[in-house]
Amino acid sequence: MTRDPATRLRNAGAEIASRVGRSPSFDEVIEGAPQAPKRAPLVTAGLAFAALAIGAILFAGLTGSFRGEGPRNRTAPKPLRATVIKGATVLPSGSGYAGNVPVTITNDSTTVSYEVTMMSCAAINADGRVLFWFRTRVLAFVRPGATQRVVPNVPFSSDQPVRPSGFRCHVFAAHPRDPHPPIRSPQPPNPDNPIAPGFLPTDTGFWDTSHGLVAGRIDCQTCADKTSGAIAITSDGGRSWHVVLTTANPAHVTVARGTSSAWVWAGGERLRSADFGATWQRLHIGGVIPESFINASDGWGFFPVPGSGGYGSGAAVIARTTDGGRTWTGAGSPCPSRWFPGPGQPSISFVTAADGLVDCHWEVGAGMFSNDAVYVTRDGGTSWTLLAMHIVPSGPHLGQPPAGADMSMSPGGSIALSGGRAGTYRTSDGGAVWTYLPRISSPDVFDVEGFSWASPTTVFATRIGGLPPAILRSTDAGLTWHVVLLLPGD
Amino acid sequence: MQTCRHPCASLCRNEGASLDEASIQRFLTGDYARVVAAVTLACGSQASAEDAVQEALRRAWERGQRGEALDSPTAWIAVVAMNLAKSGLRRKLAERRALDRLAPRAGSDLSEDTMEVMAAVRKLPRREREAIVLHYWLDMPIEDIGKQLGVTSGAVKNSLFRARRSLEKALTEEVGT
Repeated sequence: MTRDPATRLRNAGAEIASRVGRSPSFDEVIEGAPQAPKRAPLVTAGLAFAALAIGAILFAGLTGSFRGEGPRNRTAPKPLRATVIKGATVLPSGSGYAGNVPVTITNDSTTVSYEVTMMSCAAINADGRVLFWFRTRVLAFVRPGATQRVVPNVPFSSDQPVRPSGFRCHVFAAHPRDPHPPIRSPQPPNPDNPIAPGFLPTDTGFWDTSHGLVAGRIDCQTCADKTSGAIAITSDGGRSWHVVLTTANPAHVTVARGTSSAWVWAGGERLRSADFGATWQRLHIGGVIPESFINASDGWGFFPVPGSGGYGSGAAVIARTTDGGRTWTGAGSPCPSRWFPGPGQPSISFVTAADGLVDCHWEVGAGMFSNDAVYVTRDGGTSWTLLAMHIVPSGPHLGQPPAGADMSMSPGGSIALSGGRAGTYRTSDGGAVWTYLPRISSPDVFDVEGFSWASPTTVFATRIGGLPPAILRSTDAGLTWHVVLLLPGD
Repeated sequence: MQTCRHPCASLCRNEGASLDEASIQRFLTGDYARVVAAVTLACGSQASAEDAVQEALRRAWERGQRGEALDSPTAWIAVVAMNLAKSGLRRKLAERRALDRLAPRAGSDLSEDTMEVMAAVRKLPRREREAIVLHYWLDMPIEDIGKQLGVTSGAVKNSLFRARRSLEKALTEEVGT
């Protein structure tokens, strides 16, 4: 017998591998269906369950009216109907085809909202024969009423060489959700948190002076709901809100003023809405973080590239989209390579396809202090000119790390606001000279960010630190501020 | 497969590794048994290893759904499953052990040689155990092991050297007695 430990280890591994029985199916591992049963009677039961499940899916697909439910509870039908919109994207990919299938989901219930988490579709050929089935996770919130529809793009890929000529889809998994009725916030503020327990607003996005979104994180130690991000919508200038989307991670939002489009970044999720935040579609764009859009198509973001030295050692690539965030291409970057890879950083703000500012932050010393610099472009980001170094020249917050720093230009482009842990600053000459705003940057209020310009004079922001969290509004282009809504926290 | 849309090409090279249903099915029919064997070698129980690998696979799928790509899915799943088998899934694994005691699994009678190797591997420190299984059983390059375990290649080489020496000693003693 060999004494070589490596050989004996390999022999042992081979013997164990040969004893591993039947591999579990995809459904058993991913869908939370029964785990691979290890004993004979259970194997029979498991196969019977799988056969029943497959039978149910096939039946549903052929009839086209499967009333969606997850694998654990198919007995309770839900009033959700899926219809495939003509015009699915089907492109050659490898040895087969890939693309997106746009689907509308109708909710027949007038009282219950649903969160759709999985769609199942059949790709069919010209004769109507099923070529293959695919199932994909989606995230879609369907509000009550037959007119409430969502249109997720259901992605698929197949190695089959036959090009699908159509699709039939149904909702595979959906869960009833609290419809989050609008909650009015009286003045003085309601002691109950009006958006969600522990909601901390970090970002706003306004299409006009009445309609907007607020995004943030839920930090609720005592709640059963472990969700940690939320997006709420307002139609009365921020006085009342209701939650339209909850996310697994703290959420950040960008809107295109004057359109109905919005983009959300929440951890690994990237979502887009084209209907004032009522419904959301997932964007499969990897790590790109959307930052600024001038219309429903043209936008800028950045792509954090982690460094080998941990936090603060990474770089970022400015990214550009011309199709509403579906695809991105890299663009030049004026910033030093040691950017903070973190929420809202670096801050990019464009007012036309040519004119934009970027506020870079980087670390100085042993990670305790930071510098920043503002660069301007007049050619859409091809070339950048340094406008201002150290816009935090003095004040009580000099040297603070700019965690969560945020910068945003007014629609005219001459006024901009920049905020974060280092205080709030304003420029009225396009970014060369920045003035400290003591009224919202007092030592009690050390973090105002999430700026969103609803008009050339009206701008919204969120107060994160110091005094209780709040949504703020200025009607004089950022000189003076008022609390629109106080959020008492958890 | 999804096409790569990252503006930074260097991060795109493994876009194909973001786990979709087809690639998970490929893993289940291909590498599954090898990875279960690897985790079994490192943690000692095949049933626990299967649970841990399936949980790791579920987590890999969720990452894929979030648009994240994995550098080396098989290695990632193996390392995560090893961690899970050690630190997580405790309750589930306790249940599994209780079931095993009630109804011992048929076919778990491994050869004496394999049992000896497993016992010797289990005596190694955790890092050495992981390194030697990943390198000699899953044939992972030293550099990849370092990346997955978050240590330098030098540290992996050191672990491998020590593990090999300890195993040699333990297995020689076993044979000698």
